[in-house]
Amino acid sequence: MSQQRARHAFSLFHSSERAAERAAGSSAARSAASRWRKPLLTLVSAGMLALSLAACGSGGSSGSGGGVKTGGTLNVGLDSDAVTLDPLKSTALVDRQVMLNMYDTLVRVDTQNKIQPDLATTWSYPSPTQLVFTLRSDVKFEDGTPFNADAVVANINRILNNQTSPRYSEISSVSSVQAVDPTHVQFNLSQPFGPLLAALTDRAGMMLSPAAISSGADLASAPKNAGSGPFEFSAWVKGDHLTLQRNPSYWGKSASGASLPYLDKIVYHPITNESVMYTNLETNTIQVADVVGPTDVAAAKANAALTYKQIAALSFFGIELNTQAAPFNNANARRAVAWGVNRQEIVNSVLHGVGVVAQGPISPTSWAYSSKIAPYGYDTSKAKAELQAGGLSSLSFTLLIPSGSPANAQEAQFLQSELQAAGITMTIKQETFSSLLSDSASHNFQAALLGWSGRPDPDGNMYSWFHTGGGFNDMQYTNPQVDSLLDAARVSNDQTQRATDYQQAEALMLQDAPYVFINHGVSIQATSKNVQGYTVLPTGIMEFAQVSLG
Amino acid sequence: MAPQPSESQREAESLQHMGEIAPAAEVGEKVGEKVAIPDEGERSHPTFATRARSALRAVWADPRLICGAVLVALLLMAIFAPWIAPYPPLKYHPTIAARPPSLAHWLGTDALGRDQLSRVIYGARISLSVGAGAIVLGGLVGAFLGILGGYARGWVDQIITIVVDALLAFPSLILALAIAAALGSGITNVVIALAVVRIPLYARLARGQTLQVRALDYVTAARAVGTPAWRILLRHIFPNIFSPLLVQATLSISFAILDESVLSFLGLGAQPPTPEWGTMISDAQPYLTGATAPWMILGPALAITITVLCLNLFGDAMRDRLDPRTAGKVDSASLASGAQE
Amino acid sequence: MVNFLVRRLLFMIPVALLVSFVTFMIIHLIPGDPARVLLGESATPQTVAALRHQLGLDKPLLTQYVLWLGQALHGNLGQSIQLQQPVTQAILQRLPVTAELGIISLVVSVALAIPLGVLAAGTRNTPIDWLINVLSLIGTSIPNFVLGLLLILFLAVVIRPFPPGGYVPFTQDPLANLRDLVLPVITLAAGAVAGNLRQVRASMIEVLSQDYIRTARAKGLRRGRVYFVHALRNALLPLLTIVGLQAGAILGGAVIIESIFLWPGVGLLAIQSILSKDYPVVQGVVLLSALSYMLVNLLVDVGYGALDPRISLGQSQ
Repeated sequence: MSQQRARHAFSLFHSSERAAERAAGSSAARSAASRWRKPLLTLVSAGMLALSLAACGSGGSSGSGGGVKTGGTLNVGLDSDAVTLDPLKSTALVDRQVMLNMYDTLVRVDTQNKIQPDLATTWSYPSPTQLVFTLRSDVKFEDGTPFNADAVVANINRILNNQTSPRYSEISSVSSVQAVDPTHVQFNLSQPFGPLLAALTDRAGMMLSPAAISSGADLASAPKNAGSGPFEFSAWVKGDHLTLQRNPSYWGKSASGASLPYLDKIVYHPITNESVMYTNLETNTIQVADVVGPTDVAAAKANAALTYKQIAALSFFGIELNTQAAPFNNANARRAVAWGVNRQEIVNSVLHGVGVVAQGPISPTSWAYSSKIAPYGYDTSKAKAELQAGGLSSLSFTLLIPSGSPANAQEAQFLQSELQAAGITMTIKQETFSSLLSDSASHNFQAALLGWSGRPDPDGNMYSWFHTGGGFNDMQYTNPQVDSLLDAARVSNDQTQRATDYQQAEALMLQDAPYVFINHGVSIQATSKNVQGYTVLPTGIMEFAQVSLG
Repeated sequence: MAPQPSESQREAESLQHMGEIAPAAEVGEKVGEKVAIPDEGERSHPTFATRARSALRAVWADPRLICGAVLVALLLMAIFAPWIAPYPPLKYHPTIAARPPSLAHWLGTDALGRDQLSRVIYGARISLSVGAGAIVLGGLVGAFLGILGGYARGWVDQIITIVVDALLAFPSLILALAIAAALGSGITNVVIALAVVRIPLYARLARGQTLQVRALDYVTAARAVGTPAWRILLRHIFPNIFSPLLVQATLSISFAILDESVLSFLGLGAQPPTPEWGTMISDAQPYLTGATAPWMILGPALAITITVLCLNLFGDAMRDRLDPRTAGKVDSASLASGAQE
Repeated sequence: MVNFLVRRLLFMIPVALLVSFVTFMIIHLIPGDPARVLLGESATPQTVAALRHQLGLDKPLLTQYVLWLGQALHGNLGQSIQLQQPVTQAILQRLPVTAELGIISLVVSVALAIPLGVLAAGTRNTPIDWLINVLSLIGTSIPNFVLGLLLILFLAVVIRPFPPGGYVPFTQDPLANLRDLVLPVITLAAGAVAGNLRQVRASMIEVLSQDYIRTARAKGLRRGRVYFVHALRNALLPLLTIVGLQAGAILGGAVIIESIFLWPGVGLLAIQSILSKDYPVVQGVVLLSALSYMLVNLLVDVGYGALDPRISLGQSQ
């Protein structure tokens, strides 16, 4: 969750993905930042609360699931309101929080970022450009339409026929999709594409009822009975609350064979201010918060009525350096900055521990991670040596940061002070997030504090950032060796080989230092003690199928 | 409630008191009186003792004048910040971050361990200079437009009136925010944004005054004998409308300062690590909850409140002294005049 | 009178046009591409270009403005880029929130200002008057975002009678709605109370010094009756102007309050839209706000004329 938060550097922003994801700085930290200017609005008031709590008190009954209590309403705080519930159009990360509890995907990721079955039970590659899924045969959509290969074809074609959909580029390697028989569907690829499975764990792989799609129902704001997931859409008052209710015909079972889900209802409340969010959690107005401000984390850990846990997320935060413009067209200058940053102190002092020191783009929770890749520590003498080696008597530059985020401003001031010790002068300039994105995308900058929310597949953290001409390669970094390794890893379906390729590419890239990595974000669990069965995922998505109120 | 209505109210008030309602003849007298504010002490024996005594008497008669002293103190604080501040405002000490007030740090330390008092002292520089800059710039442009419209009349006046009305119809903070976002963050751009927002107030005031002065006999006469327009404007119009503009300016510096702190609060003003009150308040916000370091907000909040309070009081006092109509009507000994902000 | 109204209404047209044009241009000066922001992620340049085309962002600025204006004249304010809903709908959804906040604040400010102002005038130059004046000065001088944060600190975090922020519609839970209202209304009304009470005090002092009031007192009418029936009625006229101006500017004041207290109103919408360059929304909000400002001003003038026969509406300006 917080990982997603990460990017909410600039909170007033309607959190579009790019906006949202490319926040600067560090994950939850950002959040601290987010404070009051975040967009949407409301939270549950205590009064309403009282009502819903009463509901969960009385409605709860001890059910079948081996002593697991069933029923009840779970109030969940989200750091911004969802924008749309149509996976075809969604760009806001917060949308996923809701949609992944409503819609099933073909495959899903587990806590190790490995691909696991969901609607598809198995998959295979008859050839490198053919991917065949075997589908569950016992699934019906909420509207009664059976889930089968035709439904998959309808959903995938909906994306392929819609080029302005953000989903289109995620599965652009798919040239066509065909139903082999009701339980087998074949994806034909224009070229082998390793990250495709990971893409299908997210919105591109969400399956909606073909009947709902063709009926022209309002999928964006009232997708009634369109999914097959543990919960179904109930009501949405924008800016106020979004309610999902139990899908009585959900196919999933618990490990002990009990029917899922346990909860009757989930009510999402957009709460854009972290302080407010935490106060609501403390007072049990909400039982789950998707973000806790760094300054409140210590209190959350100490509070006996709350559970707080964090794991490294997939995101990374740091400084983009423009490799084609002075002063950072000099690799020594870039490495000098990389040596001049005290990552641990930033994690401790600015993020209050809500972050993990980062050495590269690949998070410790990824299967492609290698702890051996750790080229830069904090060493001002090495920074000075780099400056000397690069023939630089001094180095000064301007760092762009998103406006409206005290956490980012704080981090930037730390960096400024640390770099000063290494003889590097850094000026800070705040810009609105849209300006910052525009300036960085047009390479009109020297250095920019911009991060990335991360993707389960390492390709998502490497290719578009560090491949020549990549979509997020604001740094204009180019290294043919890195390019060929990334290309090779992309077209391979062999995970071991891919991991080796990514690690080699990462090591080479870090030597060139187009980006100074500072920290990874974290995914957190911040819940009331009575929330049972919750699993923290590196993606930060809060899945409630297995959750009960004890 | 919001800065805007208040300022519009002031404007309404100024127009009522100084402008269109007063008969033309009175304007002339008023002006004469304003140009030299006669002070008994200065006239007779300009010794230190008598001066001090008369100053005291003036303050006794109108305690609001104390605020003048506070403002001078703030100004000195801003100018001599490097000598007054106990610590360098930018030096950070993570080991003493977010400490409560103590003997060593009277207002505590901020999230980076910097001395809050020193930052508050330095912060006066930004607030006062931006406030003054915005008013001077907005005042000059506004006065120019107002005089032009009021003197030229006709279609020029019509166009200027439409422009001024349009500017006035904007929610001022939203307009300032949009301009600041368009120009990019930075102090100069904030000054421009805040100046634009204030143009209509001065333009309306200047126009009203110009219309009246223009109708005065000696101005009509000057025009009749063919005195060039620029000369009339320079010799007759501008000196006559200067005082009301000055009063309006004093009264609205405080609003410019408030707006500046809001823009900085939103990250569009002063850039870190520059110490600035709005930014400091914004930095303190995450520390309000969890009772982590709630005192962090107090220093900058007090600083900005005291500054605005003193500007308001001093502006009121000045208006009463410069504007005989209000001064006569409202008991000047009362702390707050009946005049409306 | 009718003439006056027609002239004033006609005059609003060029002003509104200018306001919308200026807004359009300023927002387009803000760097950034809404299409890019919206698409995010692995969007290819082609996708961005396609969306820009779909949104009409690839047309010349003036053309875009004219197209917008043509639609606006038909009551269609366009589609929000970020919210993916019609602008009119986005604004209408949030309007009740801002209206509730603004109207209640105004009512509270007037309800407090009148008795306090009368009291101050009646106890002129006594400690009571002095105290009221000092409080009112602090009220006008404390920035409302500072006041809001301090209220949150003391009333929502340290002791907790009120929620630190949030909004529940009245229709959903009246009690919770009122509780949520308290802190924002105090914050928004503080400045207005101060201003209004000083106006009431000044007018009262002026009216009380007039002959007919002295006569009334001399005739032995009770003090309260003289104050509230005879004097106050005449002292309220100037207050009307000010309250009118305040009503016209509710949105400006709501911007910060809504941001601090997380109220899903039009002010918050405005800030978000400016910062994300969602110009159709900014256009809509500014236009709405400007029109309501002008209309309220007109109403105030009309009301003034109706209440005070000495003022003729024939000569405006």
